[in-house]
Amino acid sequence: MRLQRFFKFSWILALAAGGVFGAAQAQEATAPAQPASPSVESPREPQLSMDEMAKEAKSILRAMDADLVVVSKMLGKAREERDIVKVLCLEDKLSQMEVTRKNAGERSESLQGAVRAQDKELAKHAFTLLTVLKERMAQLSAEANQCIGVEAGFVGDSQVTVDVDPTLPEDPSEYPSSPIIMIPPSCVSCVL
Amino acid sequence: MRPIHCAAVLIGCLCLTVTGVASAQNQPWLADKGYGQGIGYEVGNFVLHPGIAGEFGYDSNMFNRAPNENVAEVWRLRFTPSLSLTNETREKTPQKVRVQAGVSAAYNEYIPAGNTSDDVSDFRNVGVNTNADVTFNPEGRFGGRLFGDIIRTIQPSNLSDTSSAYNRINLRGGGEFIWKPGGGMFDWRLGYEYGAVLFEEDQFDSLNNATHKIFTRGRWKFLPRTALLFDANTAFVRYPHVDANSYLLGSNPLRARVGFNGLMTDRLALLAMVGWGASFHRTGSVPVENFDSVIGQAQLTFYPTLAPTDGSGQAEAAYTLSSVALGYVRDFENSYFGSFYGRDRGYLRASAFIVQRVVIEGEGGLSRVGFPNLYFADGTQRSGAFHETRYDASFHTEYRVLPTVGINATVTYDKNDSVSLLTAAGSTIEDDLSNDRLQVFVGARWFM
Repeated sequence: MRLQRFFKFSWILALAAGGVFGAAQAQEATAPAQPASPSVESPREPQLSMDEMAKEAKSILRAMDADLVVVSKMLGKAREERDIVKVLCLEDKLSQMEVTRKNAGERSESLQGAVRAQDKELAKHAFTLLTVLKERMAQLSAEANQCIGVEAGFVGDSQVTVDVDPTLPEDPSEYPSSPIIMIPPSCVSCVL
Repeated sequence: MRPIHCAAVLIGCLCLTVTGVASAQNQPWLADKGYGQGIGYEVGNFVLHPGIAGEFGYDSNMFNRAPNENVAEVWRLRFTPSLSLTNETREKTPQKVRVQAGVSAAYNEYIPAGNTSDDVSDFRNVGVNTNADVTFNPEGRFGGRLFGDIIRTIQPSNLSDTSSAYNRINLRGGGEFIWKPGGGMFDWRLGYEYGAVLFEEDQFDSLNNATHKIFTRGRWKFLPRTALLFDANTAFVRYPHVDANSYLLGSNPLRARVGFNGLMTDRLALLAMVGWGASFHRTGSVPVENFDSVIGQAQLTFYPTLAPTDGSGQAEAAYTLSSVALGYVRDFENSYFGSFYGRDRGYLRASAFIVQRVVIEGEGGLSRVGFPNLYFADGTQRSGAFHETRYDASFHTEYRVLPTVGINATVTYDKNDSVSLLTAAGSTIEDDLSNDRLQVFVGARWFM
C-alpha cells in the first residue's frame, strides 16, 4: 500500500516538476528571441551614406563569420574531450549564431539591393536590422565563451584548513588506554 | 631519509627487542610526560629530556599483609634517574618518522620503622623501565608504528623472604598498520602485539605467560577534537609451564567496544565506550570459568579553566590547565588466582597545572572486583565465587622553585576488603587477602 501511494505521489511530483521545468524552459527560450525581432522604429538611426552602409555590412558579416569559426572550433574541442555539458551548451549557442548569420546575410542582400536602387529609406531599415543582428551575434559569442564544462568545476586539489580555538583543552579524542593490568596477589600461597 | 633519521629508526627498532609495558610507573612525572618533562636539550634533530629525582618516604605495609599479620612499616628512599628522547621539536614540524624513547630506573632502599622485625633492607633493588615508539609517516595517508617496552618490576610478596618476591620482567612489542584518509579525519589501525611476563624467582615459573594479541581500532574525528571510536582485539594467553601448576588455564580473550570520545562543549568532554568481552578459557585439569559480559568505560571531564590567549590566537605560556573527571570502567583480566577477575571501578580525578609553577593531581577510586570459583591444581575447589572491595586514593603536588627544579609530595592509599583463602588443598589454614597500605613521599627532582 505504501509503495502504491509512493508511486502515485511520485507521478504528481513528476508532473509538477515537469510543469515548472517546462515553464522555466519556455522563459529561457523566449527571452533571447527579443533582440532578434527589433522594431523598425529603432532609435539608432544610421548616419552613414549608402555606400558606407554597404561597406559596413560586409565588415559585419566578416566579423560574424569569424565568430562562427571560433565557436565551431570550441565545439569541436569539447567533442574531442567528450565534455557533454560543454558540447550541449556550445551546440545551442552555435545554432542560434547560425540563424543570426543567415538573417544577417539576408539583410545584407536587402541592403545591397536598396543601394543599387538608391532607395535610402530601405537601405536605412536594412542596415538598422543588420546592426541589431550584429549585437545579437556578439552576445551569443560572449555566451559561448562562458559555456563551462566538467573540468571547469575541478580547480585542483582542494585543501581544507581547520583553525582550532587555542583556548580549547588538549585533544581528548585519543584512543583510551587499557584500564587494568595483571598483577599477582600479595599472598604467595594463592599462586602456589 | 637523512642519516640521523636512519639512526633514530635503528635505535627505535633495537629498543623494541628489549622494551616493555609502561603502565607500571609509580612516579607521576614519568607517567605524564606533558608535565614531567622540561624544555630539554636539542641535539641535532632530537630533544633529550634528562631528569633525576630523590624521594624519602614512609610505607605503612611494605608486604601488603593483612592487618592481623605482621605488618611491616618501613622508611623508604627512592632515586629515579630518567632520560627520554624524541625527534618532535617544540615547533611540531611534520616528521616522516617520529621517534619517542625513554629509559628510567628506580632504586628503592627500605629501612625498618616501628616494630618491623623483617629484614626489609634485603629487598633493596632497582626497577627499570625502557620504552620506544616509532611512527612512520605520521601525517600521511598510510603509515605504520612499531612500539615496545621492557619493565623490571620490583614487588615484594607477603613473605619476607626475597626468594618469594614477585620481581618480574614485562616484555611487550608490536606494530600496527595505520590508514588515515581524509587528512586524518578517519584512521583505522590493524596491529599485532606480543607480551610476556617472566618472573625472576624459579618458584613462580608457573606464572610466566606469553600473549599474542591481534587488534584493530578506528576513529572518525567528525569534529577537530571529537571522535567516534571502535576497538576490538583477540589474544592468545598461554602459560608455558602450566604442568607445574595446572590450575592456570590458557585463554583466548576477545573484546570489542564502540563509543565516543572528545569535547562536547569547549569545557566538557565525554568518553563513552561500551562493548562485550569474553575470556574463552581453554579446558584443563580444573573446571573452566569464563567471563562473558558487558565491558565499557565512561568518563565525564570538566575543564574549569580555558587557556587564555594573548590576543593573537596563541595560548599564553603562563596559564592554568585544570580538569576534573568522573568515570567508571568495567573490564576483566586474567588472574593469577585462577582464570580471571572482573572489575567495576568508579573514580574521581582532578588535576591542575597553575602558571607552570604548581602541579596538583588527585584521584580516588572504588572498585568491586569479582572472582569466579577458584580451584587447586588437583581440581578441588578452593573457594566459591567472591568479591573484593578496593579503595584507592592518590595525591601528588609539586612546586617548581625553578623552571627545572621541583619539590614534590606524593601520597597513595590502597585498601582491599577481601576474603580468606585456604593455603593448600586439604589444609585448614587460611590466608587473609585483606590489606591496606599508605605510602607518603616527599622529594625533589631536576628535569630538563
